[in-house]
Amino acid sequence: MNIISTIRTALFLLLFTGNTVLTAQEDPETIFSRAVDRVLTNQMELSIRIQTAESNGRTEEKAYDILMGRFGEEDMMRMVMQEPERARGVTIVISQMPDETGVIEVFTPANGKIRKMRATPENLERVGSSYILSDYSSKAMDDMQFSLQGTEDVEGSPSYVIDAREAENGDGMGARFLIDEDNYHIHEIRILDEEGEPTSVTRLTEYLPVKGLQGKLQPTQIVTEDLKEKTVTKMQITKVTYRPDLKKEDFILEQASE
Amino acid sequence: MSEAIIRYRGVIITISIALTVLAALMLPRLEISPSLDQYVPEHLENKTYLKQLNEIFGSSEVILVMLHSDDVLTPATMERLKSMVDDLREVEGIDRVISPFDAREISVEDGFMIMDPLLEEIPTDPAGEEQLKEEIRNNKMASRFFADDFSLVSMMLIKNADTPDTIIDQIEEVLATHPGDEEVLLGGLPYITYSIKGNIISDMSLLVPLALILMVVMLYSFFREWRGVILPFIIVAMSIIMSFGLMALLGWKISLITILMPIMLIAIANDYGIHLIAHYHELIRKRGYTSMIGISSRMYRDLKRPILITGLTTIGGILGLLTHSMVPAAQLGVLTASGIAFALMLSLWFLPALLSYFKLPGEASVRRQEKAVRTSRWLNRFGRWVSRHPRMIVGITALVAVLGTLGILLVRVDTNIEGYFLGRSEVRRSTELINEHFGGSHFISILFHGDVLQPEILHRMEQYEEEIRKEPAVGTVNSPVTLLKELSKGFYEPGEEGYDRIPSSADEAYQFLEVFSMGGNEEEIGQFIDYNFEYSRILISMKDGSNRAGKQLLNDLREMTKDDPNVMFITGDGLTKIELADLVVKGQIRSLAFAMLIIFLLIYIIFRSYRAGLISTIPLSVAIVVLFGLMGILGISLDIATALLSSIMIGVGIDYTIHFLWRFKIERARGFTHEEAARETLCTAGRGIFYNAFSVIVGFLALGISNFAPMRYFSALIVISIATCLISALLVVPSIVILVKPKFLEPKST
Repeated sequence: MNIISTIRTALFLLLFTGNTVLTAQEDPETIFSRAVDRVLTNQMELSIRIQTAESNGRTEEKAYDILMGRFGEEDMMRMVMQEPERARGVTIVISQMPDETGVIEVFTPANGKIRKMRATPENLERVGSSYILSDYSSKAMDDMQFSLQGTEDVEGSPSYVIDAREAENGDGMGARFLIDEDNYHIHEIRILDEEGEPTSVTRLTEYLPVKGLQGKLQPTQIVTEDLKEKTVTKMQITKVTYRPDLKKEDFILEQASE
Repeated sequence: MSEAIIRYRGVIITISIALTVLAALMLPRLEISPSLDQYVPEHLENKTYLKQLNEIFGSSEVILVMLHSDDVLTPATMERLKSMVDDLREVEGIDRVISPFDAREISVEDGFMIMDPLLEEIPTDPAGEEQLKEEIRNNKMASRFFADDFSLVSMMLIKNADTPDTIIDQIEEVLATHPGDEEVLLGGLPYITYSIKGNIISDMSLLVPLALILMVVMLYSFFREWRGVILPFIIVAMSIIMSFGLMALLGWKISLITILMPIMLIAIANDYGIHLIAHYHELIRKRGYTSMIGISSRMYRDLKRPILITGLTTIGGILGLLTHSMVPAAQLGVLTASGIAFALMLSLWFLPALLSYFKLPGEASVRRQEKAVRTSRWLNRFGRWVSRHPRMIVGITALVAVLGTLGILLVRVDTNIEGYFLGRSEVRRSTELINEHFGGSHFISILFHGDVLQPEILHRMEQYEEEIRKEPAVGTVNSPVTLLKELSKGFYEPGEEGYDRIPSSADEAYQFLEVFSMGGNEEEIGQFIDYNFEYSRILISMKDGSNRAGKQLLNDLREMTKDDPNVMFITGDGLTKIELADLVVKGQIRSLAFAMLIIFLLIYIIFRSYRAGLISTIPLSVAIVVLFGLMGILGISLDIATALLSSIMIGVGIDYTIHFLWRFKIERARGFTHEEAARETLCTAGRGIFYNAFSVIVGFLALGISNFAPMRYFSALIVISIATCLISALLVVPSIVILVKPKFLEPKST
């Protein structure tokens, strides 16, 4: 699993839920909207550290600073690599308008080059971001179908089990959320394949308050187990700051050699 | 002892059958392993290095699917290939499908990096087709999938080493759902090993019954009586079951050379039964017995010693295979020796016990036996001729030995797995196409260790690449340099300094790879550089699979990189066969020496004479020289099967000399002169010796229709070598004993 995909899976929650909160009305949507209402979804700054352990025992560690913002209808994301040292400063900026082909920019500090790609679904896939931006950022929750599957205990906490699938393609790929009955923390997200079998399991723990925004929480330990690739990715969010001050200029690459 | 056999005959029969049934119960545990890897012992250098290499880069295996026609760059062919690619992606167990449709044209236009698929549309007009061909030729990512003349297009299926080779069946099923005009061929090591497995099963199910039928026909033609056929047949069948049962018990797997085991047992294990039945007929013809019990007892008493001795010498010779470093060869030695030991015990105890239950044959049957002894007439003439011309025979033998020695100098060693298949087989054909158009399917890696993204290391790798490409045995050469230079085209425009160049710093190289890996291309990077950038490799494919070419390439690579502080080692599956070739030669010499020594010692113990040991090894030495001399002259290579010839030949061939010397001594004791004793021996024991050799030859003939080329050569060569042993025992040994008059053959009173 590539790093962007890892981030993509973990941030799926944020982006996905960010769009659902406005439209949730009834159970199980109500439960779901209460859960996601507690977490921050954009206009934020994140520092994350990712450790991937492959089935053959290899481990890899990387760190990123990420900005996420929405300006009107335009979604923007900027990722700057911090570790390993040799990749420090490699930056990817993705911007996309609904129903328009956006732009992906890649900056490599070693040669000062900025390369642009059109944010076609294919190129977004190439940088591992199609899932976030093209599929979910602009998806209205009317397009989603929720169902309460029952309850399950997660480490002693009784939790709702809620399935979310695209309404038009109810039998297709979806996700299963395990939401705490008491505090509405999302404990677990299982990505399901077309047959309803989990392909990955993400566990979210250690919810902490978001700096600068009262009432919002953020899970700071996110562990994703890819059941197909047999990899385990531990993502630690070392910093989350609410950034209402973010401007489009913050997403513009500054150094260009051309 | 003969009385005990009759007294406890029921117990003997019951125990023998019970042991066989127990062994038969183990048979379902047997497994087939077609891999060449098992032939090489764990401690050998290349195997150790290969393990390290696989730990660093993983051990993915490539299956090649090829479409073949006059021109594959047509819309119909490419559409067929595309649909195959799409369906094969869905097959569970295939990690990745890499095809020409993945090839991108990387360029920079107006500041935008363009990575368009090269084969989005296939033109129908000749000009457009020619232009696309030119674009493919200039695109390294695409050109590797096409033959230079566009008569072949391929795709690569990457499977994990843990996925069983039976996935080939699924692949073939998918391919069958896309019919078309083009020929579809499969290739790659997993396909080769899978085909070997299929051929092993096919050989086992065809050759063993065939050899058994040949044995039945031969036995009936010898004895003209069904009990003379059934009793040796039962012994052979029981010894085969016992050996396979032991194989399952020890957890050993059936390999290519295991095919030899049942055939060897069919050829060898019936010999003792043949001698016993022949003697039983001799006793019947005397007409002095009233029951089979008396005949069985007498038969045992008369033959127990020579049968035991010849059995032990055969086991000793075959155990020579134990000294082989090739693991399956040593296993074959143990299993065949065990089978023969079991056959020996069955022949000495079970056969007389069972025979004692039969009724005495009628007069008509006895007369048929008498007719069958006509061979003595020509044996008589032959014996007279030999006893008159001993010097000429020894002289001619010496001349043949000199010629054979010259031929030995021409013997080549070849352990190339591709050579297992016959010329008309699909595997052979696809392998030849892969070697010719796609650079071969055997690989060698040069492993580098250190800060492998440093430009000075990358530049050294580039220099090596240029040198390696000049090697005639080399098909393709790839390394991180190839990948990084290709990636540079996405960052620099043509004419810019960094375009199609090695990155100027380790940081830049790292960042190229980081950006590339963001798109999920880690696997492509992972082929050449490990995940934490400590190791990298140059990956070389070999289009010439011969050992000579491989050895030359290895020497050149070692010379080229000997002073490079970052080169750790050179290894690869392409080198396994070179190590195997060394093992074959060493194993041949060791097993030969061991078998000769064992035979020498056994003969010394039997006749209490060093000279007996020396004389007995003469016919074997002549047979060995003739065998290897012929191999050299006819250009038949020493391979994993033919390397086993000498031990088997010695184990089997010594019997004829022992039988001759044993009887000669008896005839001398009866007062015959040396010439008379030789003549008499050839007339009496000569018949048994001839039958014995003939039965072995007939047994091994079945291998002549094996699916494997080495087995076919083995069949021809074992027939030649047994025939040589026979001729030596019947010509050379009598001549020598007439000329030398050794003391060990003289009656004790003299």
